[in-house]
Parts: sequence; structure tokens; C-alpha cells
Amino acid sequence: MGANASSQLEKEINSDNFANEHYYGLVNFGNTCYCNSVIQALYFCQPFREKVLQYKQQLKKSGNPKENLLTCLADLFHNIATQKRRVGTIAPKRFITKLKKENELFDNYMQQDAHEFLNYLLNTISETLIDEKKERPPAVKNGTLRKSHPPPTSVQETRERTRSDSQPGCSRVSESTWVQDIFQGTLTNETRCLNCESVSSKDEDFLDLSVDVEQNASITHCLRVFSNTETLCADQKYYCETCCSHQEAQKRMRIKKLPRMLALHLKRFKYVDQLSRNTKLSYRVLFPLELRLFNVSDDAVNGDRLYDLCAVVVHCGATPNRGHYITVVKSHNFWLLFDDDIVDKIDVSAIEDFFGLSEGGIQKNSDSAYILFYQARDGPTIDTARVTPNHMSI
Amino acid sequence: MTASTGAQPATTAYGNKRRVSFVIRETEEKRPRSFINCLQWDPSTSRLFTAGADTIIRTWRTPREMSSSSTTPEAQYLVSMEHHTDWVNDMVLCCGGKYLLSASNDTTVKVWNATKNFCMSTLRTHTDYVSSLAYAREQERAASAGFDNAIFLWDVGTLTRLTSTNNTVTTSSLSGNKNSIYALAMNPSGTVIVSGSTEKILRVWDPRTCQKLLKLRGHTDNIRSIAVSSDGKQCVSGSSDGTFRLWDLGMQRTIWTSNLHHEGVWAMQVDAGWNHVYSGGRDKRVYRTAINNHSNWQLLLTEEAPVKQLLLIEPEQPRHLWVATWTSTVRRWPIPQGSSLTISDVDSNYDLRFEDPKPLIPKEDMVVSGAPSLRQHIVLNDKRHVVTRDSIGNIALWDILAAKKLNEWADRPMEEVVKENSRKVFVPSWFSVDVKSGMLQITLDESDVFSAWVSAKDAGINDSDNKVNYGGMLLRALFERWPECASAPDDPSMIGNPNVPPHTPLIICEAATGRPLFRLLVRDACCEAESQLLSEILPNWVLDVVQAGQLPKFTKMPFFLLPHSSLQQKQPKKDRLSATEMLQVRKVMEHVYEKVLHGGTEFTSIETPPTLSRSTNIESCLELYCNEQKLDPEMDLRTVKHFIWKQGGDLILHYKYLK
Repeated sequence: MGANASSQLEKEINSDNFANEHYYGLVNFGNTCYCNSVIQALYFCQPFREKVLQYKQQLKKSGNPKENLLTCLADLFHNIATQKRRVGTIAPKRFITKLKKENELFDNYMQQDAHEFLNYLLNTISETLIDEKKERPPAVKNGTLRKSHPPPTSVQETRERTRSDSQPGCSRVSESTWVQDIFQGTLTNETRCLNCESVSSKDEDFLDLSVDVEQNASITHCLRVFSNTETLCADQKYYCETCCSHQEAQKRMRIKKLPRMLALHLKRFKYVDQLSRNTKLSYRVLFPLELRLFNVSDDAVNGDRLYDLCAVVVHCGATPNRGHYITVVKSHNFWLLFDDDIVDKIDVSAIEDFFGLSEGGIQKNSDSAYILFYQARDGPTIDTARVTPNHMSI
Repeated sequence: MTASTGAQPATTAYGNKRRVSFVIRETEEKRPRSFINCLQWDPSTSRLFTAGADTIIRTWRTPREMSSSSTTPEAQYLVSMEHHTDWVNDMVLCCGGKYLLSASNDTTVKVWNATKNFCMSTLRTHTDYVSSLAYAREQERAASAGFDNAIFLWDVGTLTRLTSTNNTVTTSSLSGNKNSIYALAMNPSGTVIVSGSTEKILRVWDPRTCQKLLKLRGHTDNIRSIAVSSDGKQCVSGSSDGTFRLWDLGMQRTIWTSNLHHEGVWAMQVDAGWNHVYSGGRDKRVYRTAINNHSNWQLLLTEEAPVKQLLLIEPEQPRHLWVATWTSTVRRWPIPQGSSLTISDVDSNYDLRFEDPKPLIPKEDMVVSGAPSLRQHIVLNDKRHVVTRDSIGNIALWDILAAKKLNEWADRPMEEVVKENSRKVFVPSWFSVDVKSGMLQITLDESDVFSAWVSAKDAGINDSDNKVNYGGMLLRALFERWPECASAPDDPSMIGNPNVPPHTPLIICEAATGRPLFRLLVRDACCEAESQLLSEILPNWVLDVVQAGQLPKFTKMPFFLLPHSSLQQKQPKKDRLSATEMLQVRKVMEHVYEKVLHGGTEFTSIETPPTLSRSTNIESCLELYCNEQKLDPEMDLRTVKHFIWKQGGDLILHYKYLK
């Protein structure tokens, strides 16, 4: 059946101008759709794919025999990109085996969280690259190995600085790899004391943004809520260094450096006290094909960046523990749906089906967007999407 | 609603967890220790009242005759009124200067006799910082508002009749506020009351009926100061958004908005004739603007720090303006009279962004000089000494146990003093420090007050190995004069009680909210009323030490003792030993010598360390290691754990004997 579907797609893409692109479904090894869906999304994040394939070329040259999660991913991407046929199915067996070996969290047949996996994968790749950079000359001094930085999480590192007296020597520069180059942005956390009205700000790097979802809202609205002003008062007062005492303060989080690839995680899985378990919020959350951020700080350098939607990881089902993950990607002006080993071309209007449900969003079965990947239009890889007309009205 | 007042709080209304704090300071603090939040003027006696972050209300006399010397004359200090335990935010002088009301971050409003200078009663109806007061002179009514969103109306006459037995008062409250209130004002006839809050809206009530009248929208940030015209038809408001506005309450709209200030407008005064508004704020400037034409304005003066409060003297024909800023010094500026009032139209064409107009008043004519306030503190390793830095860079060294300052330097780096007075010793924390009042305040809490056991030798008491407890010693010293304080027990941990200065203020407060329950001076614990209250209010953890003379047990810590790898001994069974955390390494060495090398009997506790029968020097017989580092026999186990072991899990020590 899969073969039939593939041949159908093959005919379609041959009649259209799909350049030399490959569309391969990934075999499910028992609840590994969380992994397949994220890999497909990342494969169609052009800057990321390019770097992984470059890494593969480098591996060939250096002949590094040591297998890790990145080498397995590079092999998988290379495998897809060098297939003779344009469409088909591939079993990402080595990658899955390696993943389960490296992290016991994923070493079972349970349903996993795609966002957690994305986080783990990006951080692992980044650590691998940092370690490799260190192993290469300049040789290790005195034979002692420096301990690597703690693994970056989604909010990666905190640099604290007060506007009045910044200490440049104190800010530690995090080691940067192409993972950071592609996905990393910076949030600035501004706190203003309501008594002395002085502002202190603290920067945090992120690889993806997790936003709360609301019924019948747009992603722009969710981002605005993310940056809403919060007042620290009553027994939550803020210790102001200028006042030397606890005062009321207003705090807000805004984006200071916009990433090249913006990964937005919609917090659809939430612990509900009444049900005393995790539940899914199937709220209808609109996301546009073109996105501009409004919650940027005044000193942001690239605050007016325009983003194009390039991939969506969709969760299907009613609860976090049961369900399925699929991916919608854009490639050469066309939209495709990857459901494990099945690949289909879809119409752009079908994307609306993944907004969620407009009524009774809790505990309902839905196919709703879970992670959105937006690529900055000014990025060095110029996508042909530049001329895509925007069909959807949001 | 009814509110309970008086010096005596209703004990049942408060939680059981309590803290004890004390302030280390001079006997008499004549000069403000930190910035001034509020000013009042009594024209009948020419007295100025100041109060602010240092919790103390002070009165000053301003001499009428000016000395001809070149230095600015100083206001003469008269007296202090002390009872608040946190910042004083606002004051109003009532009944022609007889009584004073004050509002504080300690969540109370206090009623003072302003002629005899004592606290008459304390109103505890607010549950958060009380930020502002309003006063209707003709009605002798007052109102208080705070961060608990509440506004209470008070009849001044009733407040001044309160006594310790007749301590309930009826108040009405104004409802509707959803946010913390930062500003409050009433007209003299008490027909209109206006509040400003972080809601960015001015809310207006009729205080006679407690009816909501209206809301005024327009400001885009917190509202910090308000003044209402005597007819109650207009008001002015200053905001953190950098503007101040004139409002028409009848038409419910802004008449004009002034953008003179670069930053938040924190203080406003209007003369009695409602002719000019005086505004000051974060940009350090004070402007005078004509009410009837806001383009008619003048820059009166520029202060050295953000302006917190303004006070017009003789508001009918303003002659002087007192200005309080973000320093502890308050200055009086003479307002030019006569013709200079009208030259302002020419100045109004200045564009403030490009040109700084010259201030109209070049120099102050009187000053209330403040003292420097503590800004920074570092607790030293011995958990007994604290190093502080004040607002003019002085560095001081304090002994917490004796509640006094040991030394002070004018020009030394703080780090240097810290380094010079630090020792490589680990003592657990047993108190917390804050400097919100500009003075050093030490707080003792049940959770850790007894955690600091040290040897009498380390504490500098005598040369014995007896252990003393810092928290216990200090508590006994603080309540030494209380008749119920047990006479010094034989317990060696109680020896060498330090002396605490008798003027030291003691504060007992609720642990959860920090709200004060009782404030007294150390020397007053012997007075009958104070003594009685102490026995009602002091928490059990204080009573156990002070009244019953008991202390909790030593804190024990487990550790392992193994032969050093160089001894190439077969690893024996790992015995888990346990000892008090202040046990000296020397005692462990003696234990190794006696029991492991010569006795060989198994036991797992060295509660009573064996004494070495011979007067041998133990260091010549064996060495003790932790993490391959040789240990100093004088070190104690917790210091080893903190500085050398530096990890979780039980401490492992290795012994090596020398041949």
C-alpha cells in the first residue's frame, strides 16, 4: 500500500518541478513516530539539513569511526539525499538504536514527547560538536581535560547584567556551534522596581520558545501573552538592589535576538489538577504562513525579521500518553504530509486542519500543531518560497 | 469594620511562627540614615517633620534669622519619634500640629502625640505596605491606603482618644481598587478623595458616603502623586509615565498634560490658591507650572538625586520649598517673590531635549544634613563579623554577637577588609542581615538560630574546648534584663555572654509576613508592661533558651575513617563513625591512636573523645588526610567537610602513621 502511495506521489512530483528533492517516509519501530516526525521536520529545515550533510562529508574525509547520535543522523540524512528514487521508505534503524542506547528515557516502547526529543537531539548534537572542537588541536594543555559545559536546555544560559553597572568580564560566552547559529535566540528579562523605577535586565538564550495556548487565539497572541507584564507583589515582592529592600516590581520577557530558525513549542500538554493527570489542550490556535514577532525588545537588532513557516510537527490524539505524531513540511512551494512511512502531497489549505478544535478543547481528540518551525526570510539559504502567495487568511 | 489597635496586638490573630530582630546603631540617631519619604510642617511652632527609610520620625526647628556665614544654615534637630520597624512612607499633621499620623512598610499606621513626641496607638488594619495618607483639615478626617488595595477612612478625633484598654475603632473602607495604591489625596473639606495605583487609573470617591464617583483614564503607567483643589473640582496627578496631568473631575477629563519631566513624576504640591503646581521626580528636577496655562512653566531647581518629596511652606504665598531626594539630606529652597513670578512665558519656548534651561533658584538656603546609609554587607566566614559599605564609601566591621561596630575606615576597598578579617573556618549561618533602613538589622529565625556551635576558644571566650552556641548566647544577651530571664546556668555553653548595648531596638515579628508584633529597647525589658508583653509574645524557641536555659543538642555528622592507601593495609570493614560537627581533627587523630592503632576494639561513636594517656605530640605519630590533603589538627570536621571534602555524601578521612 505504501508503495502505491509512493508511486502516486512520484508521478505527481515528476509532473511538477520539484528539483532534485527526495521524499522518504520513515518506518515506525513501535511508537517511534515522535522521533520520525521531528527528523522529517529537521530534514526540511534547509540550513539544518545542509549542516548535517556537510558534517557527513567531513566524516568521510576524516574517517572518524566513532559512532554517535550525530553521525547516525548524518548517515540517515545522507541516505535519504542520495537515494536513486525520488520517493520511498527508509528504516532509521541505526539512529533509533543509538538513541535508545544513549538515553534510557527513550529506551522503551512508550509514547514520547516530540518536543522533549527535539530538545534532546539539538543539545546532544551541540555537545558532540563542542567535544569534537576540543579534541582537535590546539592540543589539550597539561593533559587535563576540561569538563564540558552543562548541557544546554531550552533556556540555555543566563547572563546577568544590570543596566547601571554592567560587568563585561563576567558574562561567560557560551560555546557556539552551528546548532546555536541556526536555532538560538536571546530573551531579555526586564524587571523594573516600582519604587525607584530602575530597570535591571537579564539575558537568556533559547533554542526554542514554549508558549501557553488559549482557545481561538493566534500564535501572535500567544507570543504577546508570553511577553505580558507580570507584577511581583504581596509576598512575591522583588528585592531591589537600589532600594536595599523588597519592593513591588514589574517584569516582562521579550525577544532581544531573533533566531534564524524559530522553533515554537505550543504547550498543549498540561497537568490538570481536577483530573490529576496530564491532559491535552486541543484549542484552536491559528498560525500564519508568514510571521512577524511583536514581542521584541527595543534594542533588538533584527526585530523586524519576517519568518516563513517551513515545518509543523502535529500531535494526533486526545491525551499526551496516547496518540500519534505526523509532520507537515514545505518543500519547493509544495506542502507534504509525512505520516511515518507514508508521504502525501497536500494542499496548502489543508494546513488549517491542524489549528485545533474551536470548541471544548480539553480532552478532545484532535490533530493539532505541536511544534512550529519558522525560517527567517533573510537567512543565507534563499528558499524559493520567497514568491509563494499567501493563501491563508488568518 | 472595626479595627483593633494599641501597643498590644491581639495575639490570637497572628501565626505562631515568630522572628526576633535587632538593629545595631548609635544610642541617638540624630541625622537621617537614609532617604526621606515624607515631610510635614507645623507653622505654629516652626517645626519640620521628616521621616523615611530609616524608620525614625524626626523634628527640626528652622531658625528664622539667617546667619551671614557662607555655609548653608542647618536646621536644628529637636527630637526623634521611634516605633516603626520599616520605611515610613507618609505623614499627616492633624489638629493644628497636636497629632501626627504616619504610614509605613511595616503595614501599620501610627498615631503620635506630636507635642510630647510619643506613639499613642497603632492601627493594624492594612495587610501590606501602607504607602500613603490623605487628610481633610476642615473635617479632621484622614485616610490611609496601601499595597493591599485598601483605603480606610479615619476620624482623627476618635484615633487620638484610643487607649490601651479602649483600643477598637470603627473605620469605613473605600472599595473598588484592584491594584496596589501608590498615591492618595483629599481636599480640605473632605468632599472628594482620589487614589492612584498601578492600575494607571485615578479613582474618585465621596468620602462622606463612600460612594464611587468616577474613574479617570489617561496615564500609561503607575500613578505616584496626587493633589486635589480645595473645591474638589480639579486634581493634578504625577505618574511613572513621566507626565503630570490636570483633570477636571466634573467633566471627567484631562485639561492638560505636561511632558516637562524626562522620567517618573514622584512628588507634587500646589499652592493654596491653586495657581501653580510644583512637580519633582526621578529626573532630579523641580518645575513650577501655572495651572491655568501649562506652557507657562519654569525650572525652579535641579537636585543632586531623584526627588522623592516636596513641601511648600506658607502655601498661601509660597516662600520656601523643602525638597527630599534619594539621599538622606533635605534642602530648603527660597521661592523668588514678586516680579520673577511672571517672566516664565519667555522660557517656555525651550525645547527640553536640546537645551537645559538654567534653574531659577541657584542655591538652597537651609539644609537638614543626613548621615550615610549602609548599602552593602558581607557576612564573614566566622559567621560573627559583618563588613559593610555605606553610601559614601566608608567600610565598617561589626561584631554581631556584641551588637556593635568594631572599626571603620574611610578609604579602603571592601574586599581588602573582608580578606583581612576572614579565616578559613566553616560555621553554619545562624542569622540574616538586611540594610533596608540604612542601618544594620539582624534577624534570628527558629530554623537556623541554633546551628552555630563553636568552641569557646574560637569564640575568643577562653581557652577551653567547651562548645558555645552563638544564637543561644546572643538571645540571652538580648533578653538579659528581662526579669524572667533565668540566671546564668552552669551549662558551659552559656558562659561568656556578650554585652549588648541597652539602647538596641528589639523587634518581634511574624515570620510569614514580617509584620511587627512588638518593638522595645533592650533596656526596657525590665519594665513591667514590656516584661508582661514579652512573656505573651516571645516564641517558645526563645523562651526555651532565655527562660529555661536550655539549648538544643549538638549537630552530629557521620564520617568514615580508613587507613591511607600508602599503608597498603587490607581495607577493613568501612565503619561509619559519628561525631559532633565541631570535633577537632586532633580528637579524631587521638581516636585513631588510641583505638585503631593500639586498641583495635570496634565502636562507632566517639562521643567522648579519649584522652591521650601520654603527653605525646600526636602530630609526630600520625597524619590525617582528606582528598589527599593533609589536615591541620586544629580544624574541625565541618570545616574539613566544607573546604576540603567539598562534595555531598559522608566525609571520608584517611589516616597515616609515621615511623
